[in-house]
Amino acid sequence: MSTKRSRDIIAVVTTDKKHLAGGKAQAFLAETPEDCHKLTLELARALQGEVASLSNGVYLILDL
Amino acid sequence: MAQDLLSAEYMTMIATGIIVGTGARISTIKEDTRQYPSYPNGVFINVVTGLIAATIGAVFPITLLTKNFVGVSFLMLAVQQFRDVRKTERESLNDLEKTEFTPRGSAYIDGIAKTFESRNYLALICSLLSVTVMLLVPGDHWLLEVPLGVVIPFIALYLLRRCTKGKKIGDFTDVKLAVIRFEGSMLYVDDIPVTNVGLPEAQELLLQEGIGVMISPRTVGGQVALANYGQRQTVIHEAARTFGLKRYLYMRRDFRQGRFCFAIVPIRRDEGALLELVAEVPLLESTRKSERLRNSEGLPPSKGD
Repeated sequence: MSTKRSRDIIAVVTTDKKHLAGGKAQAFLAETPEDCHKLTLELARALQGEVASLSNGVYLILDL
Repeated sequence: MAQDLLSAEYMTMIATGIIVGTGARISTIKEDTRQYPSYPNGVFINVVTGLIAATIGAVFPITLLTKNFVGVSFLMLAVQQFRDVRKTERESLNDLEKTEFTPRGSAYIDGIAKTFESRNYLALICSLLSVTVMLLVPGDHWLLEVPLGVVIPFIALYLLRRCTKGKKIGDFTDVKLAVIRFEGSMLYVDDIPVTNVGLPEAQELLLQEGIGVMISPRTVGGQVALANYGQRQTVIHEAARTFGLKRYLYMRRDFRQGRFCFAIVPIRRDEGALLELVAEVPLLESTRKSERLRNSEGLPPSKGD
């Protein structure tokens, strides 16, 4: 059991390239907001992560 | 000497002592859905270690009577043995941590393991007391000795249990149901922002099936206890394990008023039982501080409430 209580960002999904400023998390670019949502869902399923959405339309996939 | 040891009188004493001690251990095994040893094997293991503890306790005064002072070393052996009980208990629970969705947390494990050890001592003390009482009764009146040897240890057991009994969450907090709502993607339990839930699907599930619980301490001491992460982990672990976790369990402490809330999507939905369960969660020994030393006058005055 780890004692760490914070979480890591596994992936970032967004429609706008300007929100992707780099970092260790894998970034994904979607065409439309609907696409973005769908992609996030699929990625979260695949990575078994949890989704957080930010006010600028970026979706983060966090580890559990 | 060996002849003496096998005499009917001593046999009665030892047997009574062992039965009383084992009985004491059995009476302290709480078998409900919350307590840890709730399954046949766990109970059996504990009854047997209790029996061994009782045997050591029962034989001990008699070995002293035969001027066999080496018998004292058996007590040391027993203590070692019980510490091993604690260690194995802790190890096995720690191994299970990986398989739990909401871990027990080391604070809770430590509390459970300590309780196991102390219950074994309880069995030992009871049987020791039983035999000692029977030895102190002059002459050989087993009709008088046996009832005394049963009653006095159980009185002692009752007193000891009262001393070692811990408090519960419900003793120092108000546990209430809370409303789950969303502001954008932020999940709120009553007025406390808990976490960011991004997917509308997840938000819907939480709104439809989620239960929010708010635990507000009544005293400063309660706030201190709830500030302990292990204590909060214990609460959510018990909630998740008893009611089953369908999905999502989020908790957050409000540092301003020391409140603590969590939202859960349980498998078995029963709000009343959940509140009751949370109120029954033990206050961990590691979090507990002496009331006498926790004098609120010694604390700095609260600011900014």
